[in-house]
Amino acid sequence: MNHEPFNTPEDYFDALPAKIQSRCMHKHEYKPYRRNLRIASYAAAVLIPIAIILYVFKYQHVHSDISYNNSSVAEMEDVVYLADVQDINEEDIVTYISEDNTSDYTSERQDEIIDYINNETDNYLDIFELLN
Amino acid sequence: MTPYSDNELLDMYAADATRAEAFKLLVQKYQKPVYWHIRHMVIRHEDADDLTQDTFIKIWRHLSHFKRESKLYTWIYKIAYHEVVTFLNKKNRFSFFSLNDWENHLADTLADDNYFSGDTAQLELQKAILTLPRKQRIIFNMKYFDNLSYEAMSDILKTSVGALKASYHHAVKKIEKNIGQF
Repeated sequence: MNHEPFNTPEDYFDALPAKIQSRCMHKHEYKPYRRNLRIASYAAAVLIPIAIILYVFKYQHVHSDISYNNSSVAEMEDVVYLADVQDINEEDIVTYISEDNTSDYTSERQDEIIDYINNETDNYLDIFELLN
Repeated sequence: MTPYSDNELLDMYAADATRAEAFKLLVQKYQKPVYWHIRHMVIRHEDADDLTQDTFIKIWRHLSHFKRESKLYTWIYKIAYHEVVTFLNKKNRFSFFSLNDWENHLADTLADDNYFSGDTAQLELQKAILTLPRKQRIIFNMKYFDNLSYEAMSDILKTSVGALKASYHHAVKKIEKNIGQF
């Protein structure tokens, strides 16, 4: 360890475990808005594909060649979760997708969107690895 | 430092009767590396204190999902790293000028920080580190202050060892160039 120019309050590390444990044991520490965010993410996972489809119908007049299937919902859910964790607004994703003329949603397209989110947040951590 | 291995702590954590005790021992074992990793990135003690607590609360919530396929300390580092990146993104989001505005602010106010006891050379070093792009700064800090191996850093940051070595090398060159300009 290199010489440490920073210091802490006296006995900081002696008191920290009890402080953390107290917060962990406090049942209200699990913030309700976090749960609401998760619910909102699931809702967004359903709504975003619908928004994309509506956009395509409304502005690009494409009626018959939209290749979109149920598996895309699960893929989109991952993207929305990533956006949620990294504080990207779902509208940004919709805008980004809408700017492209392609209406199909492939795994390559998902990777492209995830790269976009990671670049936007200056974060190269693979969030899907975070809890594994 | 607790004498228990990571596996022993995880086994204790898995049992209801010893879960709380296991977590307390885990905090005692990892509080310093987590705190110092965060502190070197966010600089101010008050912010590092908040983020360290938040990191361990997330560990408490998610430890039961840890699959033991990776090392516990790299998993803990990933959570701490994510807390730091989220915090810095939020700080810089409200800046009007540049991406590293918050880092510039930290460099300007570091000398007045009550919990900074470094001499002039250390102050200049910290200021030079704060001029690095954030990704490069975290790589430099992990190597220089945390003494992590490139392999561990690669696991945490999902970046190749070669890229990490190159980035660290460039960071050192930039710091050498910038030091003394303050």
